[in-house]
Amino acid sequence: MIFLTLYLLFFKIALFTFGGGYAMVALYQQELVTNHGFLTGQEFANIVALAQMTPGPIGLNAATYVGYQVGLAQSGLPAPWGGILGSAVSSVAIVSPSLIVATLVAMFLRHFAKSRLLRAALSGIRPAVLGLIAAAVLFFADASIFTAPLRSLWTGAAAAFGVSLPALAIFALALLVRIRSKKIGILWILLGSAALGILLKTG
Amino acid sequence: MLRTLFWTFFRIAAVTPGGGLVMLPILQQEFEERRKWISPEDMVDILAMVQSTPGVIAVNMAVMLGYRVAGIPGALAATIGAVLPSFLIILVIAALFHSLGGAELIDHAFAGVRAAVCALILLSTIGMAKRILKGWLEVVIAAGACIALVVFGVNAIWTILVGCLLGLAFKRNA
Repeated sequence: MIFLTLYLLFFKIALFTFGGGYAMVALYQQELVTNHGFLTGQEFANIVALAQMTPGPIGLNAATYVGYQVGLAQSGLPAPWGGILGSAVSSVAIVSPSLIVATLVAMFLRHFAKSRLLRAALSGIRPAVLGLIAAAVLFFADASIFTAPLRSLWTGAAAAFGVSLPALAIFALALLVRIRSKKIGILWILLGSAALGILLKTG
Repeated sequence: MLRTLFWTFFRIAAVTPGGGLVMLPILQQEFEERRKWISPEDMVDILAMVQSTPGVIAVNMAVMLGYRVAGIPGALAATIGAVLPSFLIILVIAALFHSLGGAELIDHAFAGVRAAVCALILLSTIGMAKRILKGWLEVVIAAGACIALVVFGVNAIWTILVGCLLGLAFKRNA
C-alpha cells in the first residue's frame, strides 16, 4: 500500500542523511524520481522550490509536500484525503529516525555526563563546533549578503563577488537592534526584516 | 513546560526560512536567556551532536533540546511543534493552489529575513566564542575546523572527530 511505501522510503532517507537539507534533497531526487518514478523531474523541481520558499527546514518541507502529491496521485482515496494522509505519513516518517537516534544520544550524554573521558572529548568537540558554526555563518552570508560565494575569491571568479546593498543594510540594522536591545524579541526582528526585504526589493 | 516547548518550536518553524542553524538564536533567546532551562554548554553540546546524527538537523535539535528540558515528552512536544507548521502550510497551499502570484513578494521577504538571520547567527557565534575559546588549543581547533570547511570542503563530521581526539589527548587530566 502506498502509505507504507512512503513511510519506509522517507524513514530510510532520513536515516542515511548526514549534514542536512541539500544532501537530503539529493536523496529525494534519487529515490522519488529516478528509482520509484513517483514524480517527474519537473514536478520534483517545483516541490523543492516550494520547500525553499516556505518557512521551515527544506528537508522536512519537501517530505511533506512530496507526501501530499504522491498520496493524492496514488492512493485512490478521494481528494484531498489521499494527500493529507500522504503528507502526514511522510512527515512522521522523516522525523522517526531523529526521534529514535537523537533521543538515544541525548540519553547517553545525560547518563555519562560525569565521565572524565566524555568531558575531555567534549572540551575538544565544542571548539570544533564553534569553527563549524563560524563556517556556516560564512556560507549563510554567501546566500544572503554576498552576490557570489566567498570561495569565488580564490577560485578565480573574483569579479562576480560583491555585496548586495539592501541585504547589507538589513544585516547591519539587525545587528544594531540586537546589540542595543535584548528586549526586542528575535521574531520581531525577523518580521521587520521580512517587511524591509519587501520594501527594498532585496534578492 | 511542554506547552512552551511546543509553541516555541511551532513559532520558529512557522517563521524561519531554513534549518537547524537558523533556529539557534531564537532557541538561545527562549531557553537559555529568558527561561534558563538549559545552559550555554548544553546548547553547544546539542549543536555538536546534531551535526553527527542522521536526519533533519532542525528536528534533531528539537528532539535533543526537548529531551534535555523535559525528557521524552519534551522531545515529542518540541518535535511536533517543529513539524506542524510545514504540514499546515501545505494544506493551505493545496487549498489555494492557483493563487501563487505572491511568489516574488515571498522571495523579497525571505531575502530580508536571511540577511537578518546572518547577523543574528554571527552574534550567537561571537557570544559562544567568548565562552568556548578558553585557551590556545580551543582556538586552534576552532580555526582549523572553520578553515577545513570553508577552504577545503571537508565533511563536518571529520572536524568533530578530530576535535574529539584532540580533547581526549590534551584534556584527559584536566
